[in-house]
Amino acid sequence: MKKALVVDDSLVVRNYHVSLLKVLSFDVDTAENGAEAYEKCLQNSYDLIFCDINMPVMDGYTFTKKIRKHERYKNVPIILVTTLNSEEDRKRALLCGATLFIVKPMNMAILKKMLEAVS
Amino acid sequence: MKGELLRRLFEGDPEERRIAAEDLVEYGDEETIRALFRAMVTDKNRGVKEACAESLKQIGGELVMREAANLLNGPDPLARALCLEILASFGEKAIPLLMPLLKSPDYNDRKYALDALALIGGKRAMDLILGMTGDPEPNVKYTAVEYLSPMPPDSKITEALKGLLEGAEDEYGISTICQVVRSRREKELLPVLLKKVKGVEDPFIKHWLYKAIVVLDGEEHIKEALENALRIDAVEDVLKDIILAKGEIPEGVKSFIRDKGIKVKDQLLEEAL
Amino acid sequence: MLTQETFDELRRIIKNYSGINFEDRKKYFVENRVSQHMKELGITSIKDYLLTLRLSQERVRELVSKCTVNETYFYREFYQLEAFAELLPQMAARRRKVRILSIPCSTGEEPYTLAIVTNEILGDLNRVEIVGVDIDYVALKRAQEGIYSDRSVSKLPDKYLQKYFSRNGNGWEIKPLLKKAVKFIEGNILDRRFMRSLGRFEFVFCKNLLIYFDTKEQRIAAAHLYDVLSEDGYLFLGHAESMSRISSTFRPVKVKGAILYQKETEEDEE
Repeated sequence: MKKALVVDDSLVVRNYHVSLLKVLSFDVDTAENGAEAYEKCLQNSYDLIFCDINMPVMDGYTFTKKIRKHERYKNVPIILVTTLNSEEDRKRALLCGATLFIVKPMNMAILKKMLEAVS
Repeated sequence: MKGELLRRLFEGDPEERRIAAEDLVEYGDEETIRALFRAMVTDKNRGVKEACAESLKQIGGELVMREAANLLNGPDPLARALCLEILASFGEKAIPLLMPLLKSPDYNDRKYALDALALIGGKRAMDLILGMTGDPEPNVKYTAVEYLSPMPPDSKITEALKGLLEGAEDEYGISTICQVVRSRREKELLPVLLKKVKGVEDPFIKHWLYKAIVVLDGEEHIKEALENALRIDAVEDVLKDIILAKGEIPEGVKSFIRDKGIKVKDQLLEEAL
Repeated sequence: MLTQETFDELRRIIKNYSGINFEDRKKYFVENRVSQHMKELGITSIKDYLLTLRLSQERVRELVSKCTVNETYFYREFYQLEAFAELLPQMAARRRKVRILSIPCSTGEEPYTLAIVTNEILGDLNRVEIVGVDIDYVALKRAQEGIYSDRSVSKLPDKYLQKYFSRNGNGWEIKPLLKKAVKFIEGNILDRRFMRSLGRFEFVFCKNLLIYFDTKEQRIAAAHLYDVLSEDGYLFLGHAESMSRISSTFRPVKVKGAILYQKETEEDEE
């Protein structure tokens, strides 16, 4: 079973993203911010990461940049799922090493398309 | 001493910069406040940024509050998060500064102001958050809905949730409303949920509606909820809701699970069955 | 039974003195310690007791002491000791003296355990300076005495018990070799001036303390831990604790299965 990590400071969004991924047969862990996600990535091995951008303690860009330095996570799809929609943020997302940048809300159709794109 | 600290805040090594940021808390003048904000936004070291924010919170005052509100939608994500915290530390006093942001044409501004209101809490913030559940941008609207979760029982909130539920069609919206209804135990919404669940086809959306229904009422709808969950492989999720609502799994459900030959992987659920 | 108002008042007093916040579910625990304290003081009414606390810092200090006793024993959280043992030689190779901080150290089990491991690994306690800090002076006094029950040494391998302890009545007394290696200081992690006065440490053990604090105090404690950690030093937290919801100024690293924290020295580039 493939393992995914959902990172978001909102419990409601975490629950929602977890349920979407579970329907597609992922085993899912969660983290509340980038720092917690980084720690979980050291302890586990994930095949897919869904990450918000604005979060307390550590944001999604910083997390992505940091985790990309680990051999294990060089090529793991990291999808920044965010409410931000500026050009500036899109650029930053790509510069930090994210695979995709998606503006919320996410839904099943978008998710399926996205997984096709990254697999 | 202040001059020396200000110099170190920008020119020292990270350690010196951080300690300067901490020690500048002793000076609350405009020059110091502006310098601390500038360092919080521009410094590349996270320790220095955090120390600036802590000192600014302790210094307090009108200028700190205004600057924090101005920088909420800045380019640096850590500085944004720290500004939110600084603003929230002022409590209700900060609300007037958020008003113009709530009306900004840029929805990112509205979202940040909303986040600040949720951190501030209290009656005034609640009324404003409730108002934002009518925002045209779904990310703002449903964030506002989410922030209704921890608020005390209030008929205005129940009414708002009812209207929102009736109008919602997408997965994210329905999931959000159902989660809030569930956590608030809004029993009055049961008829609306039941009507809604009959009207939709998508098993994933139905699943979220059932998750609220099971927690609010249960018994007679449990089996429908499980039948639906089977279609999207989410039976365990519903079983957990049943335990949440009833404290145990009723006999009828246990036999249903046996008859269908459903295997659970979760250890706690296995024990409960 | 304490009324909610009295409990809130006691919490406030404890928090003012120590920064430690007792949640509602700890009411029974606090109640228990308070009634013990009242008995010792010969006070029968809670009103008089609160008055006593208001009049005497010394009494408050005693109450805090009673409420902060942690269950602790030698060789607790072995996997962390393994990580420590793994890192110690390289750290010692880089400097003349390795400094180790145990905060809170309670009755001394942790700093002495670290002294044992150090002596086993480096064979020389002069290569380290071990400091134990606690807010509770009663616990510190007991730490200095260094006499422990069978229970506190039950996880310690027998050969170390024989090597580092001598029989003292019903208990086990730490031998002078270890006692000399550990220094105990009374102080509060939330006190910036005090924390800075301690200097820098290569290993900082701060276990099961942050969980008592609310978010604001966690931040302050984290900043002070950051200040006392040397550039290449390691921070050890309790197994149920994590820095990742408090501050991103530390970087988690995995050593021998344990998650430890180092200072994040890397700058955020644009």
